[in-house]
Amino acid sequence: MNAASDPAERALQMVDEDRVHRDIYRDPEAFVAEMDLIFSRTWVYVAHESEIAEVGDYKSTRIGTQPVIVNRDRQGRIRVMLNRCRHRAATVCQLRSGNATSFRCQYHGWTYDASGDLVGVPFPEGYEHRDRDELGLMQAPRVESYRGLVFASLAADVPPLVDHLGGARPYIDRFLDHLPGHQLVVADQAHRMVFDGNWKLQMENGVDGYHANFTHQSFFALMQQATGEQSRYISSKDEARSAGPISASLGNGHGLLDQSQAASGVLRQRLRTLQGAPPDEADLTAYFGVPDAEALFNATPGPGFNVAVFPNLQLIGIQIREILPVAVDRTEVVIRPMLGQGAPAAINRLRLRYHELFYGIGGFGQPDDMEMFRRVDAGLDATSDGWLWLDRGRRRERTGPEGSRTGHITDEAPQRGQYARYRELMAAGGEVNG
Amino acid sequence: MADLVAEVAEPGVTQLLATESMLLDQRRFSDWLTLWAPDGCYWIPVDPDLVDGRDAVNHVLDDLGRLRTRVDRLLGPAAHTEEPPARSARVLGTTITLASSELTHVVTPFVLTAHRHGRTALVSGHYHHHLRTTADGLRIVTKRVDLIDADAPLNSLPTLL
Repeated sequence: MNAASDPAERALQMVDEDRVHRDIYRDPEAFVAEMDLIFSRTWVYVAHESEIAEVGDYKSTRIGTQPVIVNRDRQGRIRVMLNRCRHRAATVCQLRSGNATSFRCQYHGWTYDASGDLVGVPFPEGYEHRDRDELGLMQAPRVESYRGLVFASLAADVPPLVDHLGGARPYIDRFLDHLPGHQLVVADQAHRMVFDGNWKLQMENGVDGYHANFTHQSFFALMQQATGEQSRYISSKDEARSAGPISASLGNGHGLLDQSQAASGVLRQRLRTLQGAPPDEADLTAYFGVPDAEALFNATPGPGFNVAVFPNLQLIGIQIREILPVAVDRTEVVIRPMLGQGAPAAINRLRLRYHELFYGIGGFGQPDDMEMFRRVDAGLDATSDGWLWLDRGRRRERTGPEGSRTGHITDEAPQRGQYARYRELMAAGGEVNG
Repeated sequence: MADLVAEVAEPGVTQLLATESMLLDQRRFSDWLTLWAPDGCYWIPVDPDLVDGRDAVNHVLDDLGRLRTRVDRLLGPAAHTEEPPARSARVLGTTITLASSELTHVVTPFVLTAHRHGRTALVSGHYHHHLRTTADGLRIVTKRVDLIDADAPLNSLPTLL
């Protein structure tokens, strides 16, 4: 759309306060700039500690498009290291998760311990001038954990993680505390989705309160049929109310959809339709065999809001959702439901069945999101109309604490916040030392 | 040495599976539901090594109630993934009987192609059926679909498997 030669500069011209140009979803050079200036320059979510609970536990994942190992070394310290041999680049870890005291590159046999130090080189006499101490696996210079959520930054000069989380922190806390009396741990399996479209489509969608009535029409119709609930969770009457469900931009690119006040009665009725749900007249304490069963049952759907932590983490329902960009037109999404450690099996099963009702390739909701991403990507072929609009509710936005901007739940306040942060990071390219 | 020889399923079983395949490819999902026992379970695991999906995340773990809802969604007017629906063709391999007691457990390799919006998807794996003999003939008690890529990133289930 323009002639700026620097891809980051070009990307900046494609992102206004309330609209974005199609090229940021399609331009391969913009994608490369995003991986460098966003995913390699700020905190990126990489793991929940329960995935690597024991010494030696590891998972392999990516920061942006770069392969990394997240593990616990011998001292129990969490490390995030590039999954790339320092010799000639082969990955040293082949599995998605496991337990290992060392990682060996099977190309030429270089071996690294769990701290990433190079501890073995075959026929070392050929390397008399190389300092082995400098040839450990490349490490993310910053790794911090917030209450079990592990983030890494490939740039050293980022603020402390808690400052980065900022306005999203109270919602992260509410998510992590939503099952009374129980720590949350990730389930052993994950829903993994992939779509042919840009990663920002999922970033925007996770805090998009405008699409649900339309994209998820089939889901609401089925629920109405099952429970008698009114299918439209947002009526035009709600729109006029100021105390209804809200959307918000929380600063640093983080966003929120909060319907925790509005939805609980409807959700409770839905729970009653699940496999293994207690009958209507059941004494929940007797049914689940624990005194706080009522509170655990009510918490089955999660805390009732979506919070998105820029750029790649979303907490939705009971799930931790990671966005993994693959290419400018391809994205993976990993969805891990959280279960209560030590909670009754019947409670965790209800959580799983409620999650499966909507999410994953077999859910009644998420496949329609995937279909909309396909349609957006197809529509982006229309080069004659270049702009996508994110101006909904801009005039009625209210300024809240710490610079947050709050709107009606159908407003695009969260997306405007995401792109404000996008602009900041893309504009800082070249000034920040990685 | 007995386990070195596959026991090819009885004609009654292969007829049921052929009927099932035909109904699914023709999108006669409501007719397909009549093949099920009332205690039926339709299961597509993320981890095919599990023997019980209840404590796991699954692609699908339906009792007959949720399976009926699934069919309602696919045949109803509001599912955007079905606009238009995929055309599918599934090819079943030889059905092998693994166990015959109260229920007959058979396994069948399958390959399914599904076409929608200019793209053809390939789905393959193994069907595990547990069948019950009733006065009305064989009924499906459980159907587990083990996808070869069950734990890989996936985009959609193009049709009922």
